[in-house]
Amino acid sequence: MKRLLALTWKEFLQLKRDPITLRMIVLVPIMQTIIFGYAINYDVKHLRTVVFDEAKSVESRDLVSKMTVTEYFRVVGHVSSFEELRHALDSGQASVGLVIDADFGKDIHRGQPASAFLIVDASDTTTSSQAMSIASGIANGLSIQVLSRRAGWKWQELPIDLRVRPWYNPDLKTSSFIIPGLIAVILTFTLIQFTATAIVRERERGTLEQLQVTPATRVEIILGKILPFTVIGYIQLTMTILMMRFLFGIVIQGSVLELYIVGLLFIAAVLGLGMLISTVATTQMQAMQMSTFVLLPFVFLSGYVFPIDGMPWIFQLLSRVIPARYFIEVLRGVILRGAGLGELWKPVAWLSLYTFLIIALAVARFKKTTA
Amino acid sequence: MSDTPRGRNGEIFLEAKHLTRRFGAFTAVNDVSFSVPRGKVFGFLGPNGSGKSTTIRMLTGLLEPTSGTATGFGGLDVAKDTEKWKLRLGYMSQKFSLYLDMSVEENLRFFGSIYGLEPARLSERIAALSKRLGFEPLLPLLTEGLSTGQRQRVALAAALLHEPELLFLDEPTGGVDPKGRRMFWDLIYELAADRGMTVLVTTHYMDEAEQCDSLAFILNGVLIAEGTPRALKKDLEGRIFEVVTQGDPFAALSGVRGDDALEDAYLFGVRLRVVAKPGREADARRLVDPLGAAHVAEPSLEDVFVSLARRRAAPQEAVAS
Repeated sequence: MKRLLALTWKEFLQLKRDPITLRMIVLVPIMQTIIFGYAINYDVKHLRTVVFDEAKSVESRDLVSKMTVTEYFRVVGHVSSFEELRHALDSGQASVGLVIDADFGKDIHRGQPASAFLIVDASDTTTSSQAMSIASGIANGLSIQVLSRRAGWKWQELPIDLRVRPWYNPDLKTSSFIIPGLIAVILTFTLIQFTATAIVRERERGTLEQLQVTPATRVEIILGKILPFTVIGYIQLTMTILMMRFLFGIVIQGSVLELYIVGLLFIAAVLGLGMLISTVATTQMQAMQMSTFVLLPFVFLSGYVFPIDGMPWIFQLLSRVIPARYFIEVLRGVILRGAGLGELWKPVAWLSLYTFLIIALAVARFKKTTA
Repeated sequence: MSDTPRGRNGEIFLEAKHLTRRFGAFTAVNDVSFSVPRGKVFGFLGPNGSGKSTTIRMLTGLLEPTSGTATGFGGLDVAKDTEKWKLRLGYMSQKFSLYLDMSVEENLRFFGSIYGLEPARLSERIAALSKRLGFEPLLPLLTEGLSTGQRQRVALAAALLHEPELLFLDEPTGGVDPKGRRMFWDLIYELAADRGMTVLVTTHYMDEAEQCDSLAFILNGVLIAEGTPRALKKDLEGRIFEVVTQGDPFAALSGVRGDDALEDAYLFGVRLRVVAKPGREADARRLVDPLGAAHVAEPSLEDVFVSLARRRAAPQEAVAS
């Protein structure tokens, strides 16, 4: 116990002497929360649109205004030929082109299908699929209007009435979805790199060997590294939660205590992973590269940005070895849905198993590389 | 034999039996056995990569031997009583393993607490050692700014804080000025003689090796000779002739090299040294006499090592002679 205390004291002392790392501990959560919170936005609005209106009729103008009023489309120009429209899209001046047929108005009155094209820049799939669904929604609405007028129906009474209720995130804000998960990402980023380099640095400088000839046991040496970083992890967790609350107005619906308990499990898992890297890497450079190598799949397969359900089965399976996956499930559950650990027992159980295995593996590897 | 606070100097304190360590197909240390008496300074000599450090690492508990055992401290086994074993030894390596971003005092406090020293006792030890090794003014400074010699003295103090009974020194004086080396060795000998501390040191400074109570030569992982410096040199006594050559020393060297009466011939500055085969001293003398004023030279440990290594390289020849 005394030895563990000495090891922890030493770690904090060294941290105090390392202003760059100290600043990183505080700045990384701030920067990432601001960047991810404000920059990532799936709600595609104000898509730059060029209109090639051959009809120039009341009906065609009605279609355009119906589209702009949704705020999803913003007309940046009218063109008078298909060539010009193609140029606007090719050059990236616009991402949507609307072509309205010359007979658009007349066809409606004649009872024939009035045609218009919506050309979208599908190189950005998120944007284009939203533009398509919104535009077809508008077209459907207009069609129903025309049909109901012809048949003398009342507009309000549609045969099928599907009402959508967006629970847990009523404003459909991307930040509500992004920021809780961001907590897991921030902790992964900083803690893996800190631990991975911390042990390798001691090995490079020969101090690890000096520690190992002392009576300090391997478990004490590893715990002496893990404890200070756990404190750092909690500081970052708290900072991000506070920014989430006061910058983005996301209130934790569930229990904060439960969040911190699962948070400890996750921090331990990430630290164990950093330890594992440090037993494989022989230089700090290698440790950095290896942590960067694991970080990207960690972020992308964790369900943080891309839903796991949409992945091919092999990647769904792969996402099971990513601890952030379980923590993100818990974070979203507790923060947004107010779920308790009883409801979230599955991800919590997986995370516990993972944490146990990774630390056991790290200790075993540490034994092997030094014995 | 003198009595020390910890027991009788001279009884066997550390014993290595058939120590072997393999790394994959490579055998770094091959069946090495030796014993070190209490209160003695035992030197380990050998070229780089010969297995010296690997042996020391096994004896400190840093590395598990592939086979063989090490026992010491009056009944402990390094493999079974690792924690107790480590508590009673001190270790200082060629790399001066201190935390560069901590001050001298912080480093000493840290290592002292790891060994379980009480704060009051620790302060006492730090004060005494920093005074004895002359680094008191350096205590508040960051280790990073210290010279190699200063760091070495601090590292020695760190290894001695808990008053170990067995001290391992792995090339401790590399890159240190002669005055620093002097101070270093004075303290080591004092601790060995007065406190009964047993010392195991690897070095390639022959003057340091010369002062060890006992020496072991290691080559390619094999222990090739062991004994006091005196006993080791005995074999070569009277067989080395040195001559200050009149003409070109290189021409003189190629003139005698390969002669049947000689085991070896080499240049030592401008002097030519030849080693006669046992029993052929007179022939060797006749060979070098015409070259200049020849005399019988005292064998150095370097001569001993070269001679041993050569015999090792040509085993049949050695057997024949």
